[in-house]
Amino acid sequence: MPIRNGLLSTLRARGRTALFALLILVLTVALSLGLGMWAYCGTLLVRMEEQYTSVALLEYMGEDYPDADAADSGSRAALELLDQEAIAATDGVELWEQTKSTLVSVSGYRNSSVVTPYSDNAVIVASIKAEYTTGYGAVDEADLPESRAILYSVAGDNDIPDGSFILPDGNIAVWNGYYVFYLPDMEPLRLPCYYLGDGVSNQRQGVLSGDGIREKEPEDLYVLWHRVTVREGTSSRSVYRDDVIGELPAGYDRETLQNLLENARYYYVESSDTYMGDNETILSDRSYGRISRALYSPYGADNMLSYFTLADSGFVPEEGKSYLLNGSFVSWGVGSRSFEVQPFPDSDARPWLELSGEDDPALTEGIFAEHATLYSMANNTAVLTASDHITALEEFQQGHLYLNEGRFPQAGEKGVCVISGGMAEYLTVGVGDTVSLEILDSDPGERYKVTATGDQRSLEIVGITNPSADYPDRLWVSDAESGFPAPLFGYSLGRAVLDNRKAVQAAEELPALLPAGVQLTMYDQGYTAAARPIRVMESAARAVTLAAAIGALAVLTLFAFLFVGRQRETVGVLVSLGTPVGKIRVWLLSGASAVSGAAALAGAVIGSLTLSRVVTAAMETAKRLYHADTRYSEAVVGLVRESEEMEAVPGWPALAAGLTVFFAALMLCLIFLRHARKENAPKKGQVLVRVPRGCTSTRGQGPLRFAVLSARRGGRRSVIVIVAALVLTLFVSLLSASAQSRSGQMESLYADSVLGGQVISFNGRKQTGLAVPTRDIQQLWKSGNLKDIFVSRSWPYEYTTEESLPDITPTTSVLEDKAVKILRMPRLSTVNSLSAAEEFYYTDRPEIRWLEGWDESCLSDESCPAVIESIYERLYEEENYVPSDYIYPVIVGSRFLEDNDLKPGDMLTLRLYMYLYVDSRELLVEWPVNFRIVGSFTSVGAKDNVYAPLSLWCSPEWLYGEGDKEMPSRDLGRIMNVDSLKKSLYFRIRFETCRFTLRSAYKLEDLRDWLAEQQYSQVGVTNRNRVTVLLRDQNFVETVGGLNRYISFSSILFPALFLVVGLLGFIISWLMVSSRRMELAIMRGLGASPLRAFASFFLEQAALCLLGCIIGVLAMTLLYPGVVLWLAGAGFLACYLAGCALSVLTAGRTNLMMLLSERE
Amino acid sequence: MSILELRGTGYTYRTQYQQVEALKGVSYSFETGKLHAIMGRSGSGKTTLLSLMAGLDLPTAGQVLFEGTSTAEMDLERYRREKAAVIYQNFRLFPLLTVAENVMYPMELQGMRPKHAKEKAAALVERAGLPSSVLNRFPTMLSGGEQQRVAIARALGMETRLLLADEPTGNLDVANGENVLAILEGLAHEEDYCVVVVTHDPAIGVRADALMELRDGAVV
Repeated sequence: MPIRNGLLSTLRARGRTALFALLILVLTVALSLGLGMWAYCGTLLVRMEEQYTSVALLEYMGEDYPDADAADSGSRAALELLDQEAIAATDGVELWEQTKSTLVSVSGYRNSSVVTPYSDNAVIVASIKAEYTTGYGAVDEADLPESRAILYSVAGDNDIPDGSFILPDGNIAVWNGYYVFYLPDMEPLRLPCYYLGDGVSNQRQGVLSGDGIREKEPEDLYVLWHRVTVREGTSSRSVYRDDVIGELPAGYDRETLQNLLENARYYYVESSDTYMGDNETILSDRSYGRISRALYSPYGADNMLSYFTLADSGFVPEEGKSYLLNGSFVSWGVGSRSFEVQPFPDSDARPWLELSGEDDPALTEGIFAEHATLYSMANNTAVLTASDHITALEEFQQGHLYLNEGRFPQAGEKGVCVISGGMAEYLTVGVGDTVSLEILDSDPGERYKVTATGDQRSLEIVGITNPSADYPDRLWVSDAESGFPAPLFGYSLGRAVLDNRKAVQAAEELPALLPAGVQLTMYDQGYTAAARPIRVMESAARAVTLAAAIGALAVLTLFAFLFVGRQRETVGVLVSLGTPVGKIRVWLLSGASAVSGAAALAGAVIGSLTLSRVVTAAMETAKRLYHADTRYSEAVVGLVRESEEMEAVPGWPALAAGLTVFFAALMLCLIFLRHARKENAPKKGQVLVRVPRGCTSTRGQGPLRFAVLSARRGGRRSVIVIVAALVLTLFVSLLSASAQSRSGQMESLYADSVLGGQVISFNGRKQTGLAVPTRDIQQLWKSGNLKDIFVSRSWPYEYTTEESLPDITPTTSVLEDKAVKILRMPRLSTVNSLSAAEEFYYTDRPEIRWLEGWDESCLSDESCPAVIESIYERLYEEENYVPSDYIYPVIVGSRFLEDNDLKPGDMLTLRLYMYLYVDSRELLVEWPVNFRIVGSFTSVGAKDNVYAPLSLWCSPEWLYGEGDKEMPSRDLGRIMNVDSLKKSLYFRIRFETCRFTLRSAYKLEDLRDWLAEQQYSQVGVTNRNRVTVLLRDQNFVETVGGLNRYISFSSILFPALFLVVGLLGFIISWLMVSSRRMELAIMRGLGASPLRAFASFFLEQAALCLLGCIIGVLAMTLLYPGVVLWLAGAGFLACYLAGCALSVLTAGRTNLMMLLSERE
Repeated sequence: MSILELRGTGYTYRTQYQQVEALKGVSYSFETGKLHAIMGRSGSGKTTLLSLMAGLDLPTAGQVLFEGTSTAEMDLERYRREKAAVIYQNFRLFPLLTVAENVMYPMELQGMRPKHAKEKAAALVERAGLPSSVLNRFPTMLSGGEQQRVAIARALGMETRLLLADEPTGNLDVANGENVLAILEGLAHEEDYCVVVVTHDPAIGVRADALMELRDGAVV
């Protein structure tokens, strides 16, 4: 009975019940959605924490970067200087690990892919003997067919001009050997063989070398190897063929000879001798024979035929003898094997030895045997890496490797390892099997010069990675398993595993701890970008949850008060009728519980059903807001992992929200139940009424008089209007000023930002030592988006005090001889700005101490004559060559000055070593250039690199492609003149660094589009153009993104906020006027016209609101001057007055009779 | 002399649940120089009738004639401003205007300049039996009896011949009620006002020159 009556009482108050049920439902839905989204985002972020690994990779940017096997003292010194404790203690660094790896020899494993200095080295037994071969294998002389053509080749040395001649069509035929045709019952016919190449290199060679070219004589008989076009239906293709040219001797049929050539029934003869032919005596530097045995060979040795290139070894083999040879395979294929006899890498002993027999002791001991062991060991190494966070190692963190099966070793776990998929396949082992290995000791100066340490280990395989060609021979163990002595090779000093949430902050703090030359690269797998919108969603969800919770509490409190607390009369009746307390409770609670329970349940159900869609929509919105164009941007470096979004949205938040609302309603009802049961009597007390003092005014007349008097005497009521108007105007003005300010900031940001970019290595870490073609430099410049472009090109140099003529050495052998020496030389870098100086790329730019009257502009001085001009004159126009006495400015390091006892202003001569590609040949040019020291800096790098104007090498016009410096067509090489060759040279040159600045930040998107259109590569994303461009725009993009988001938010939120503020103004004015309906009625009752009554109240409210607005806008104007504030204030005033007008009009329509005669 | 005549006056209105016929063909004539009392039980239609006589609304049936002209044919605002002055049980004074300004307000509505109105207001307040010291006070600073006198002064300031009072003593103690009644009697008898008082108080009914009793919206 009490339940029924309680329910009926509640339900019969239809309007109130419906209103509160609706409010509770809406708030429960809001609470469900807020809580659900909060939980979803929280769970997603936790999962992302597990999915993503952020690391800061520390690398020393040394000379041979990124060679992982380089023994660089600079890198080791940087490691010594690295404050590892400070790095480990940096906030956000979870783990710091120094790079720990060593070479090991894995039992049963033969490496076939590792590239070592000994990759092609071998110690073999060679039997020297001439052989017939088809190119696919040797043929015994007895097996040769009766009819055959045999080519006596000069072993590919086609550069010999002797015997070349000019054909009637102007082409040059080049000597290539000779054919001997054998036909039954005929004398062998010997014909010289020439070839007509592609018409480029050979022709030029002939023209340039000048000597030995003769006109073709009419009676010449020869074979011409040349290219012909074969038509096949509608298509055609080029093939090479031999043709017999000239008048044949009697008895020989051209068709027969041609058939022998075309049907491949011909054979090469590979001579075992360094001299070949009987009439022709041609020097050859190689011999021929069989590899009969190998002490060590990376390619096996199954009695295969091979060339033996003798190079400069001085080895002259003899037919029929066997030799033990040290050297390396220059080529290895089915048809071409070439073994070059080379000195031992660390000994001056002769690399060949004539064998006395199969049991010669040199086969088992001595220097040959030792080196065979070294080559074998070095070429069959694997790399063992120790880490307690293997997933943070670059190969795993960047997604090159992942576990195909098993697990990673735990931190501190010993006796277990993960091996690469390729090794597992080779060893045919799986998880649970064991690998045996021996730790190798590397020579500190040469990683692959290894010796066995005797430290043998047996490790259980707990995980196997995917097979990867880049990481075929790798093993990983925990740090506890390390304990191996290993000097640092390569440039990776170590890595800091970062807390994803603090990765950006840590990456900003760490560089301060790094010594010069050490670069930090942060790889967060895209975590920051992926997590940002989710964090914003989470914050928004928290705010919604909090707002909904507060709203629910307020509504439920009012609900409990009205539905229970205010039921004193009902309670009084029930008490008077002697109703037990329990039944009174049930009566009151039943209705309230039913309403709140039903509404909360409905809200929870709706919340649960809509949560998924709301989350999806919110995620899309957040992602859209946080989307930024990161093409070519430094903001995206390395692997970007796609975050795995959760499909299932949790259901518990809706249930929790529903239950919370219901129980909160119940609790509040219980609290108000006590209130309702108290004596139903109003409290006795003094009501303080502040009575204003005043005097009768006779000023003014009409409605304005009443308005002014009311406004003046309104007291708190008037103050409320002014304060409300002031506060809301301030708020609206602040929003407007903020939006205006953001727009201004955006404009300033674009106007003031200087954005740059550069060409970079594909992995985004190496900024120097690149090979950027002139063509791309010109293209970049001509995109029209750049203000400056800075490049560098360097050459090894020697400081010399000798006066000597320039030396041009047009042979490759000299280059090879000097290669090692040249590699160790410091370099002269020609730059058009120190921004392009590679030495300063990885460190702060040092201060340059300039000689008086000099500054950096000398580097971009276009008046310096290019050295290359002199070189070409020397090369091709010797009659015009005059040694240049031009003195170039040069900037040198302090160490260079000290070591050479020089000072700024001194003159010096540097001998530059320039590699020039001319006529398909690489020339090494040694060229002395005179300089004057115009600036110096404190030496940074290990080498005494110096800097000179770019125009020493080429005119800046070349960068900009102006005039005749435009890009040549691809068939440039066919143009036979010196100018075109020079031009060709420039375009074959690659610049080593390239930086640029954008004409304006507004050009950023244009440049991105242009780069994409031109198909330039991005870091980690290969495109058709392999030149990788990186824009240094992260800060700019983030700031613009932030401003854009604010502006986007503003465009969505501000109108809503303006609406809310306007509504608030409307409500306040409504309340203010509504409370004075009686005054309005009195006024009308006394006969005031509706207009006068309206004006009396409207003017009062308008005056008060206007005052508040003016104060607010004036206050804001001091902070943010601008007309927009006045507009904002006027907007608010309009809303307020609209509310006021509506309120007065509504009040005016009240039934005067009812109101005035109302009893109080 | 009849100043106001009710001729078959009826008034019907709708509430949320029903249609209420508050007055049913009431016919009556009110004369100047007399104190008229309208009496009846709660809900008999007294106040409705007074409101129609005050020009706050028009009858739904019949007519209210002021000096022979139906209020339906008159500008009701002007009628309220110039012809009929009303004294309400709850005084209905402007809380933010001083006593003087409250009394001045209807005069200003009639176009009088505030200065003149102020002088006249002072005289009226005195005439209503209040000291001049109350002129600059706000109504909330006065007692109920004083507020009612202010309301009377405001009504007098309208210079009408018809003075309507709705339970003028209802919120006053006996002494104040007597004073107010005396003023109203004086206005009727000495200054030829037609004073119509709606009341429950039988004592007023006894002292009235004419008594009209309503029951269920009809004259008994």
